[in-house]
Amino acid sequence: MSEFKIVGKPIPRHDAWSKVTGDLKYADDFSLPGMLFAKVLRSKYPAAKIISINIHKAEQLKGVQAILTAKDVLHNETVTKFGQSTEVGKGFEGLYRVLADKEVRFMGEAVALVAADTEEIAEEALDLIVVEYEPLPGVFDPVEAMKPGAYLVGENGTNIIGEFGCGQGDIEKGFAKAEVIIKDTYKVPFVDHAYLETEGGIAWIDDYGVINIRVGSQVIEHFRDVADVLGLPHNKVRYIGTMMGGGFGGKEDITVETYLALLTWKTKKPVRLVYTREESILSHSKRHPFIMKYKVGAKKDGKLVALDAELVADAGAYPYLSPWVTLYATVNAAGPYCIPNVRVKSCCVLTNNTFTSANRGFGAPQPNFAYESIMDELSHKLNVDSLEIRRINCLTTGKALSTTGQVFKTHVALPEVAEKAWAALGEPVECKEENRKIGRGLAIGLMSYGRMTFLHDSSRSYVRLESDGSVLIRSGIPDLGGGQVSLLCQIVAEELGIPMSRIKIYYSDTALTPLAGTTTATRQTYMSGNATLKAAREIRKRVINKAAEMLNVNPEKLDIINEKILVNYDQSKYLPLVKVIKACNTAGIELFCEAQFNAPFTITPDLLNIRGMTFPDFTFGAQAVEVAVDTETGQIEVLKLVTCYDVGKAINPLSVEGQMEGGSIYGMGYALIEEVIMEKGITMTPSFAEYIIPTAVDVPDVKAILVESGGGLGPYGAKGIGEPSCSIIAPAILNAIYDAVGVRIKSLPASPEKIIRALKKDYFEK
Amino acid sequence: MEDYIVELTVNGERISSPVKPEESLLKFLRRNGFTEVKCGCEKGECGTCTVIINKKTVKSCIMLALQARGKEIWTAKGLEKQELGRKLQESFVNTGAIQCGFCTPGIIVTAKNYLDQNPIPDKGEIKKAISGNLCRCTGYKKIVDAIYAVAVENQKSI
Amino acid sequence: MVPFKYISPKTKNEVLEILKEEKVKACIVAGCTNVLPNIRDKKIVSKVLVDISDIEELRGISKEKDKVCIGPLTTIAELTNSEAISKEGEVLYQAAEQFADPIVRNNATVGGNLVTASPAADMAVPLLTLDAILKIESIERKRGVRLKDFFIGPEKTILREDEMITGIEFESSNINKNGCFIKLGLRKAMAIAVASIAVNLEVRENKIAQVRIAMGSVAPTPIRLTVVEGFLKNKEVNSNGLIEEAINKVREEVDPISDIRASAEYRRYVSGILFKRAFNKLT
Ligand SMILES: Cc1cc2nc3c(=O)[nH]c(=O)nc-3n(C[C@H](O)[C@H](O)[C@H](O)COP(=O)(O)OP(=O)(O)OC[C@H]3O[C@@H](n4cnc5c(N)ncnc54)[C@H](O)[C@@H]3O)c2cc1C
Ligand code: FES
Ligand code: FES
Repeated sequence: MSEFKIVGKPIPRHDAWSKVTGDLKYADDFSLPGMLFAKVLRSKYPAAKIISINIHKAEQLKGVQAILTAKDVLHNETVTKFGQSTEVGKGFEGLYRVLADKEVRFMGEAVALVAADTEEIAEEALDLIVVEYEPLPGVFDPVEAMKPGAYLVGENGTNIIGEFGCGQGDIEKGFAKAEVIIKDTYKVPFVDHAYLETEGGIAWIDDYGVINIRVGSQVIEHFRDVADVLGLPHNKVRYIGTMMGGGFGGKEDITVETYLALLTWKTKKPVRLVYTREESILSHSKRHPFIMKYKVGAKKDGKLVALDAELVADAGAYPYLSPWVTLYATVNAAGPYCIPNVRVKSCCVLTNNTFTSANRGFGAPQPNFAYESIMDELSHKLNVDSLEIRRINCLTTGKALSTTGQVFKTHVALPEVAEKAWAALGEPVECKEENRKIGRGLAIGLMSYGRMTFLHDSSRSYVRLESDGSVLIRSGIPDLGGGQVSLLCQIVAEELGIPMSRIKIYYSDTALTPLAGTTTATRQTYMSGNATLKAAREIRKRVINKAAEMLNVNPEKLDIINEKILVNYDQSKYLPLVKVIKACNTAGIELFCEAQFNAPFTITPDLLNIRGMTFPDFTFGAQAVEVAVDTETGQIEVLKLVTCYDVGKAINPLSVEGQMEGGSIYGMGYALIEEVIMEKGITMTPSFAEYIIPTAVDVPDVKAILVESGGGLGPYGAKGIGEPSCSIIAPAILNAIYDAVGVRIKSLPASPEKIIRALKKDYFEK
Repeated sequence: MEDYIVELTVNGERISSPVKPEESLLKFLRRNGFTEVKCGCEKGECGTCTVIINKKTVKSCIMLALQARGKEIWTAKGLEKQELGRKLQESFVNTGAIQCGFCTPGIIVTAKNYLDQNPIPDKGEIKKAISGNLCRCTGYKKIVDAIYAVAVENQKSI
Repeated sequence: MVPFKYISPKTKNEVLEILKEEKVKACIVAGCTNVLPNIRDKKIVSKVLVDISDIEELRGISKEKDKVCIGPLTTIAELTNSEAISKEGEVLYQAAEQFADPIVRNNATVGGNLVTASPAADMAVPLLTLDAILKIESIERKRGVRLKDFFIGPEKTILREDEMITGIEFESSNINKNGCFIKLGLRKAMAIAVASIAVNLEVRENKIAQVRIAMGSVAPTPIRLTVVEGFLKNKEVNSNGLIEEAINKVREEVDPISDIRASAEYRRYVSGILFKRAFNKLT
C-alpha cells in the first residue's frame, strides 16, 4: 500500500453521532420490563467485627425480593484475577471477598445486597437491616502497617502483600563517585478516577439459563470470576459490555457485576444496580498513595551515577491489583535515564483504607513525580539547564532500562520530545504584578503500553466481508471512551478500502465476540489493533488475489480504494469490490477471518530481582508548562501546557490529541487539586462537592505535539498513549512552581496552602 | 400517595406522569425515557443532567419535577430538531470533542442555550459558559474549539 | 417513613398560612439547589415541601428612591443582569458573578442562600457589607432584621418555623456604591470559598468616613469584622502602617476552623491578604 486513505486522518469516530444526540445507551440507560432495583449495604466502619446481621425486618418490607449476605454466596472468597489466563504465581494473587464476612476491612465494604421492586424500597430495606459491629483499631498508615506488631488487616500474619526489587551496578560505589547527592521523600495521595458515569449495570437470565450482565466494564473477562463465585460453568455467564462514560482503570476491577449476578440468580428477575456518586467514591478503587524515598547521585556536569529508591504503596484493604501496580512503579522508578548504578526496592501494604488498584498510569505517575522533581533539583543545584540535564542522561534507541536492563530495540524519541515541548512554550508571558510570579517546568517520562509480558497477553478479532461490500467486525474490546472500538473500524476501512460508514462493529460481548482482552494497560491499539489488522489483511489478501486472477495482473499492482480494486492506481482500470466478492463467494473463498495477536511472552521474573523484558515496549513523552503563582495566596494558574509524545503513528489524530489533552488535565488535577482525603479510613471527600476536578475555566489550552516515529509495535507503527498521556504532568507543574517562587513541594496536590506555608515560613512558624 | 401529577412538554412532546413530591426533574425525565439526560452526581456538581427550561439552563437533578409543571423542556435529543443544535452536534463530531460522551448531551445543551443569547463569544467566554459542566476525558480543549467553530460560523452569517 | 408532601401556594400569604399550619414540618423550596441535595443526603426527610418558586411577588429587584429592594426569590443570575445591583451594590454584583456556575445561578436564589446560612454563603458576605435589612414575615407579624443579626451558627438563623424572608433591602448610599468582593476557592468555578471577603468603603477628605468588612468561611457564620471597622474609622487612608496593622487585626478577629479545604492557620493568614487586596482596590 502506498498512501494511507483513512489511517492518520482526523476522522469522526464511528460512535460520535450516537453520543452527541444522546441516543447511545450507557449502562444506566437500559431497562427491562419487571426489573428489580438493587442496593448495597455498606460498612460504616473501616475496621470492625461483624457480630451479627439481622435482615428480618427488611425482609418483611413489602416489595423486597431478596436480601443476600456472605452466607448466601456459594464461593464468597476467591482469588483476584484480571483477565489473564496464565498462571503468574502467588505474588500477584490476593483474596477477594464478594461480601464482608465476619469482619469489615474498609469503610464502604459491601455487607449485604437487596433487590426490591423500586429503588426507594430497596433503600428503605437497607435502613432496616441491622448490623452489629464491634469496631477494631485498624491501621491507616502503610508505614505503621509494616511495623512488627502492627494491627493485621488480613489473615496472612503480615500486612505486606508484595515486595519487588531490581537494579544494576553497585550503588555504594556509585554514590562514592557522586559529586552531588540529593535525598528526599516524595508523597502522593489517594485519588479518584472521577469518571462522570458511575458504575452500573443490569443482569437477567435468558431462556437458556444463562446469566447475562450488561455492564460498563473494562474487563469483560471477569465473567469467569462471576461464574466461579456462583459455582456456574464459565459459559453460563455472559457479559455484554456497554460503552463506558469513562473508566481510567476504575472499571477494571469487578464493580456491580457479581452483585447483579447473585441477585438475578436468586430472584430469577432482571435486576439493575447503579451506584450513586457517593457510593462510587466510597467503594471503588483509588490510585495508590506512595511514599517514595529517593537518593540520587550525579557528577558536577549533571551526569547521573547512582539512584536508590524505596517505594511504599498503600494497597488499602484488599490486594486487588496492588502487586501489579507496585511492579510497574518499580520498573519505572529510575525513569527514562541511563544510570549505571541503581537499586529499587518496593512493597505494597494492606491498610484499612479504601482499596487501591488501577488508575490511569498504573504506578508510573508516582515515581515520575519523584524522579522528575529530583532531576529539576539537580538542574538547579548544578546549574545545568533543565533540557540539558535530561539530554545528557536520557535513554536513546538501543540503550537499556536502568532498572531491569530491558533493551530498547524500538525507537526512543528522547531527547526529541523534550526539546519540542520545551521550545513550544515560546516567549514567557509578561507579568509586572508584584505578587504574581511566572515560572516554567519540564518533565519527561516513559510508560509501558501492553501488559506485562509474563501474562502472555493475546487478543482476537473477527472480520467478515459481506457480499454487498459492507463489513462486520466482532471484537471483545471494551470502549471506555478512548475510541478503542472506532479504531478497529478505521483499520479495517483502511485495509479493505471501504468507508467507515460501511462497517458495523459488535464489541464487548463474551458470548459472541472473540475475546480481545482487557481495555487496560494502554494495550488495545497495540493488541486488538494488531489482531484486527491481521484479520483484515488476510481477507484483503484473498480479495486481491482473486482480483488479480480476474484481471490477470500481478497482485502487487492492486490496491483497494473506495470500494474499487484499482490497477496501478489508474482510476479507469478497476473492478468494483462487490464484483470480486461475488467471485470469491462463487469460488468458495472465505471472506471472514478470526485472527489472534500475541504479545511477546516471557516467564514470570524473580520479583525481588526483576531482570530483562517485562513489558513489550514503552511510550516516551515530555511535558512543559508555564505557571503563575500568587505569592500571597499560593494560588496557581497554569498558563501554558505543552504535551509532546512519540505516539509511533497517530491512527486517528483526533483521538490521539484527545488522549493527550485529556490526560494532561487529568494529571493537572492530580498535581494541583485532587485528593481523596481519608482520616482514619473515613473518606472526607464523599461527593463532587469535596472531590473536585478541574473545570473549563481552570485549564489552559493544551498544546499537543505528536511525534510519529513509526517505531511502535502497534498497527502501522503505533504506540499506546492513553495512560502515558497523564503520567508526567505533575512534576512539570511542580517544577514550574519551583522556578517561579523557589519552593519545592514534595507532596501532591500542591495546594495553595502548601505553597504559602513554604513561602511564608516566618509567618507560620511564629 | 401518588396523587401528584406532572405535566410538561419535553422536546415539544407532552408528558404526563405521576411523581413523588421529592422526585427530581432528572429522575422524572430518565424514568420517562429521556435517558439522554445523564446522571453523574445528583447534587448539581457535574452538569451532565443539564436541560433547557423556558430558555434557561437548569441542572435537572437539583430541581423538583413538580417545579417544572407546565414548563417547556429541551434536552440534547430535542436539539437535533433545531438548526443551532444540529450545528453544534456536527461541530462536536467533527472536532473530536467527544470521548466517552457522557458529558456531551449536557454540554451541548449548555452551549446551545448560551449561543442563542451570545452568538459570537470568544473562547474565554465559552469556557465560562460551560464551567458548570465537568468533562473528565477531553481536558475541554476540543469542546471549546467545537463551540467556537460554531460561533465563528455565526459571525460569518451575520 | 412518613412520605413527603408538596404544596405550591400562589401568594405570599398562602405560604405564611401554610407555615403557620405545618410549622417544623414545612420546608420552603425556592431554587431547590440546597434542598434536593439535602433530601438525597437524608438531611431533609418527611417534610411538606412548600414550593414558592412561582410566586412572582417574591421575585425581582426594584430601585426605590433611597434603597434597593430584592425579592428573596431573585436568582443569582438576575443579580448579574441587574443594572441597579451593579450600580448601587457592586459588591453584591461581583459576588454573584463568582457564584457557583452559570447554570446553578439560574436557579439559586438570594433568599435560599441566606437561609441556608452556610459559613461560606457568597450572598451573605456582600449583603453584610451593604448592611442589608431582611424583611421577615409570619402570618402574625412582620419584622425587619439586620443581616448581621440574622445568623446564629452554622446553618442556624433566627428565623422561626412560621417565618419566611419576604424581602432584602439595602440603602442607596455612597458607601454601598464603593465595594469589592474577593472569593478564594480551590478552583475557579463551582468552588466553595476557602475564604471570602467583602469591603465597602467611603472616603471623605482622605479619611475613612465609613467602612464595612465582612468575611465568609472564617467563622461559624458569615461575619462582620466590627473591631477592624472600628479601628479603621476616621483614619487617614494612606497613613503609614495602617494596612499592616489592619491586617493583623483582621487575623485576630476571624475565628476559622480547619477542614478539608484548608487549615485554620491558612485561613487566618489569607484573611489578612484578602483584606489588603480589597482595601487597596477601593482606595
Ligand atoms: C453546584 C453548586 C454550587 C454552589 N455554589 C455556591 C456558591 O458558589 N456560593 C454559595 O454561597 N452557595 C453555593 N451553592 C449553594 C446554593 O446553591 C445556594 O446556597 C443557593 O443560593 C440556595 O438557594 P436556593 O434558592 O436554591 O435554596 P433552596 O435550596 O430552595 O433553599 C435553601 C434553604 O432556604 C430555605 N428558604 C429558601 N427561600 C426562603 C425564604 N424566602 N424564606 C425562608 N426560607 C427560605 C429553604 O427552606 C431551605 O432551607 C451551590 C450549590 C450547588 C449545587
Ligand atoms: S447529575 Fe445533575 S449536576 Fe450532576
Ligand atoms: S467526554 Fe467523557 S466526560 Fe466528557
